[in-house]
Amino acid sequence: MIYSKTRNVLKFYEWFLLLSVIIAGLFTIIWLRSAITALEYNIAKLQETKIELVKERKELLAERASLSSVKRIEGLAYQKGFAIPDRRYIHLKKRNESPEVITVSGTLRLDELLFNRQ
Amino acid sequence: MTRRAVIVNTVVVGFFIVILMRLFDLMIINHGRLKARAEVQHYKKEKKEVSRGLILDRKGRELAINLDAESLFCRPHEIDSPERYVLMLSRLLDKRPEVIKARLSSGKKFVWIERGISSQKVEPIKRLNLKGIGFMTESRRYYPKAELASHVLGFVNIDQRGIEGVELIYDSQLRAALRNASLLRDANGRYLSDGLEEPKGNNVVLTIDEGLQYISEKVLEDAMQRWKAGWGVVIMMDPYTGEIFSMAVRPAYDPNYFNKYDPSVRRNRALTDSYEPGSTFKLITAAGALEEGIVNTDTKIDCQGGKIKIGSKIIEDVHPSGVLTFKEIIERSSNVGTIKIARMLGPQKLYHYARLFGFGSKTGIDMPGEASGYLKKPEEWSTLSMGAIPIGYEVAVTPLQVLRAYAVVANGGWLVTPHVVSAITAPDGTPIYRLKYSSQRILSSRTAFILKEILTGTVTEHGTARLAGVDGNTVAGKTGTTRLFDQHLKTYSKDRYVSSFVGFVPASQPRIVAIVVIGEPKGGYYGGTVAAPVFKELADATLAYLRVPREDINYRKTEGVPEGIYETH
Repeated sequence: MIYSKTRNVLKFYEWFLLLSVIIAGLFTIIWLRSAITALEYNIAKLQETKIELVKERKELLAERASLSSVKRIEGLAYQKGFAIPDRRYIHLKKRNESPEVITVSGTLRLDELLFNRQ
Repeated sequence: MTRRAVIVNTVVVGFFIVILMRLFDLMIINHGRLKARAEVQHYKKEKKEVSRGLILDRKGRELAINLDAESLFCRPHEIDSPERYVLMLSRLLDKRPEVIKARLSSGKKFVWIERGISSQKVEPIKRLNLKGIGFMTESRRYYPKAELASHVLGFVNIDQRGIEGVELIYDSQLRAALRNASLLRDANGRYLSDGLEEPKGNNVVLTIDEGLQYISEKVLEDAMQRWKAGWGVVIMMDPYTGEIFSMAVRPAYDPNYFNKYDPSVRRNRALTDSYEPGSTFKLITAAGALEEGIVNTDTKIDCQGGKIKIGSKIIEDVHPSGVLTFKEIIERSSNVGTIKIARMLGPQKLYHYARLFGFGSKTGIDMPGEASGYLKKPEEWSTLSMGAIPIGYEVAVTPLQVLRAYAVVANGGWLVTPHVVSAITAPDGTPIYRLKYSSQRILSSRTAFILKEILTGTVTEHGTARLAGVDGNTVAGKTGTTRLFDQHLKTYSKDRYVSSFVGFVPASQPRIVAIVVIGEPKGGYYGGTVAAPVFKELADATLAYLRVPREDINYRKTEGVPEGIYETH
């Protein structure tokens, strides 16, 4: 009899626990879903901000490119009294090696270039 | 249980049963239909704007970038009374009311009203909050250096498609595939993020150097004004790799406003226009004769006092001479001497060498619209041809073809393929393509060396290109002067000329090979007078820019002087 009573109490707690887990699970799912939606809104908002910032960045890039043009810099230099240096007064180191060929990936020596060709 | 309790229980249970039935209806029976309806409301299909890749110079300086611009559109079927909108929009957009009305009443689902609107006009229209009217952010191409390298860069149309230049030929690389995106939105029309990045096109890195391009354009512009010329071209190339450092063409245009210019101004004359090269073509005769062993530098030829009869025509020299050596013939640009050497070489061999140097076929440069020029087969030559072709008449060439031919002498006998693009990179900078240099030997190094010596002689006191000489470095090159052929009169014009100079510097170890072509100059016409000084200016500035040391100074390191800077003896 005592055994049966204990079993009933355990059964009640088992059911209660199961129901609690199910309800908690349901609420968690709903909460997660709403949290994800809220997050999506936040991301969308951040993306809007990002779009604005990217737009600003593009405009700044355009401004930088215009400001750093060789033509403009030369004009400004002339205004400030600078002049193109006379080659007679520029003394450069004379390298005792094969002449360089300018390439985008870096400098390539003439003998390397000819070697690559063969 | 009381009667009241039974009623309450029944109502509550009944209420839940109704809810369950409704839920069953929504979630099981009509699930598919309702889901489809919800998706239509939640998701909006939109074409995601794609950013075109950047065009950069060889040092990574931006030559073509993108800016965002707002474009105004309408959905005519959502507008109840278009008449109400017409006046408002025409005032704000500064457009004729009829144009606005036609678009608003077009009956289509989507119509552009105006694209790329200035930011000042956008806010007032947005404030009106008009139903069926909206803005879409579009990408707009912007060329921050305006006219600089405009003929190389080209331009795009309103839909961001390449129309000319690098923009056209590398369009598929610069333009990423347009993405159809399904954007999730709520009941208020607010968008939820899909978390995907904006698609971007690949970047194109040119071989062009902004500094050298500016130098080329500046010296060309000065020459155009000095000689009141009709057109002009300056190209600078690496003789070993075929990388184009600069390509300046005049008249020029601003690609930001390309539709304001005549198509003839937008044409890249460096590639599309052919002209008769004149004396610069004598290189082919000389190269053929040396390579075949017909002459050497000291072979003496009688120039007959500067006159020779070919068929019914008499061809004269500008500076009549008697007996000259082969070297002197090229240095003094004797027509008579060159024709006599060409006769010794024969038409078949002359044609063979002209073809070998790439005349009559495209150079293979990665630019659109290149002309192949014109070179007749020996079977089609007339009696006069043997007097005309060796001195650069009856043959049509592009400035780039001539430049490539002189690069052969500069680099020791290799015919290179010119390029304007050196690399293509993904938006994150990962290299996708790198330029592979291609060249083939067409001349022995001995012949190239002799020709280099002879061409150095033309830029001396007794040569025709005296004014092309650069202080401190040796220049090698050749002048060219030709009369333009008048298509209407079917004869050579008496006052319209093309003056040119093509050369390389420093002659012993060339860093650049460049050509200057000035079309229809006024007040002078000899290549040595008009084009050679332009080359001198160009070479002076370029050698300083590239930090090429002078050849006439001995250097030694001095205590206390920073690394790389040396004083002279």
